[in-house]
Amino acid sequence: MGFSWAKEGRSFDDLYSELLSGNCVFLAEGENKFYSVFTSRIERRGIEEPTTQSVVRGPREGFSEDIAKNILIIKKRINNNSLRMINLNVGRVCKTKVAIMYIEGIAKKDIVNEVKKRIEKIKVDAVHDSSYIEELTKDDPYSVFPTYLSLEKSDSVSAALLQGKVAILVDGTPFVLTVPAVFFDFLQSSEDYYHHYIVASMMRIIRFITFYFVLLVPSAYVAITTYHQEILPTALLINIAAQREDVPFPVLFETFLMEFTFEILREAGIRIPRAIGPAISVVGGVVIGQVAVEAGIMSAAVVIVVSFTAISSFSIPNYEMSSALRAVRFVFMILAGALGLYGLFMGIIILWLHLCKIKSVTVPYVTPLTPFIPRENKDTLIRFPLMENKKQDSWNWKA
Amino acid sequence: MRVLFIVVIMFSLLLTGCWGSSEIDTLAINVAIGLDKAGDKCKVSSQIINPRAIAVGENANESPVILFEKEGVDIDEAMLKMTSKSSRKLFNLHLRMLVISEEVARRGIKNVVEYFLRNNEYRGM
Repeated sequence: MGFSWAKEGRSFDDLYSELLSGNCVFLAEGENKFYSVFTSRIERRGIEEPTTQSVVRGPREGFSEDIAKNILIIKKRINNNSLRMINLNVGRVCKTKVAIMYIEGIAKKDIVNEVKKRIEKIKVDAVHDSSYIEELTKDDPYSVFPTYLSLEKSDSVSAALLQGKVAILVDGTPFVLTVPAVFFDFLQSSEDYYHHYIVASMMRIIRFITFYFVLLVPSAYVAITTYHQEILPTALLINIAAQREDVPFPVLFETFLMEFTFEILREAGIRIPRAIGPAISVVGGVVIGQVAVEAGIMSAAVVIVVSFTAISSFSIPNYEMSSALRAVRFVFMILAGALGLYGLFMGIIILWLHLCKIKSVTVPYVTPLTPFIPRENKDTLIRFPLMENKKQDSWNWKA
Repeated sequence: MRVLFIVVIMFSLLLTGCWGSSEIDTLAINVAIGLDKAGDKCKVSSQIINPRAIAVGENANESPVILFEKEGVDIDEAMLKMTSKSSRKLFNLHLRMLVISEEVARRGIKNVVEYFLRNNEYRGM
């Protein structure tokens, strides 16, 4: 038994729930309270390599569904007595264990209290995944952009804790939330710190460019081919005109159809049994890619645009962020189809206004940029060498 | 009230949409213009790209360009008359070449060049 704790309680309800979860209860005569000792052992998945945050270099230690194990992993990484933990139970029916971890002296007290207050306010029957906590305590629940960073790797979480963030662990899920999470956190990978800083900075810049690619490539294609043919090089215009000669649909509809097909393929790819996966990739890749072009239903340019966008969307390290962008790109395509490049730029302005407005646990979403904090910009788009980044260990949010 | 305001603004911005849109397959891409004199009139020849012939592997025996010729008192009138001949909208923004006949050139090309440089319907030269 690697992990144990003792608790005291006074009511029969608590006593039953302790007994039912496999713990030992001690009662003494003449006392109006009991002590319970953690003795239960439930077999669960072990520590495995995470599937969503795969890296080339760096630790591959992923969390599992067992909160006690996850807490131990973090404690092992941050071997310091200022690591603090608040234990909570969430859910009226299930009383799922939730732990808030932070490092005293680095994490801002206000944010810890705010997180605790918000989690205590949650009123649901059960919490099956940390996404429940995210959705129920988000600052802007109607915004599509994620403001809680979900991490599956222990090194990412301990790095976040050392930056002054607060980690929220939920029993039964390998995804640990760290808050406050700002826009740039979603474009960063833990690998950025394990590679050479020039390589890492290059990768970050590429990811920032792909952020725009995912949003804008299909809509820019629509806008340029329906409104601004003059800005294409002549050879390219003639090339596209030749491809589009047999296509029966307008560009906007054609692009929508193709993007929609890609979304279907992506969704189907998740659900398809492993054994018949290759069959579907043949159908998806060959039939839709090649035969549709040869049959003249789609133009080759649209297939290129859609596959380019698809590849770009997978280079965003955070799955929630890339899903959000994929959803927003449809809005951009409508704007481009209705108003051309003018609509596109209007969309970009509205998007950034929105990003500036939303908050992640009281911290503005684009924080190191606006409000501009020069010191913290050493770790946003360009990762400065670690020796330059002396303040890295108390990076953020400190008063 | 705020919602109403936003709705009104969005409608006035978005309902103007699609103005000026033209699908590529509705355009006749004009890549070269030739100028001749025909009596006291002006004869304009336009070389239009035929995308169907350029499309790979198809219609290899079709000519990649189509030539339109019209006469008019000036270039504008000739170009306007050309629209009656073409099923597609003449698209002059990718003009690559301007051919001026000797007869026209002898009278000076200043006016011709000025016309094409200043007119915002012709670009790419």
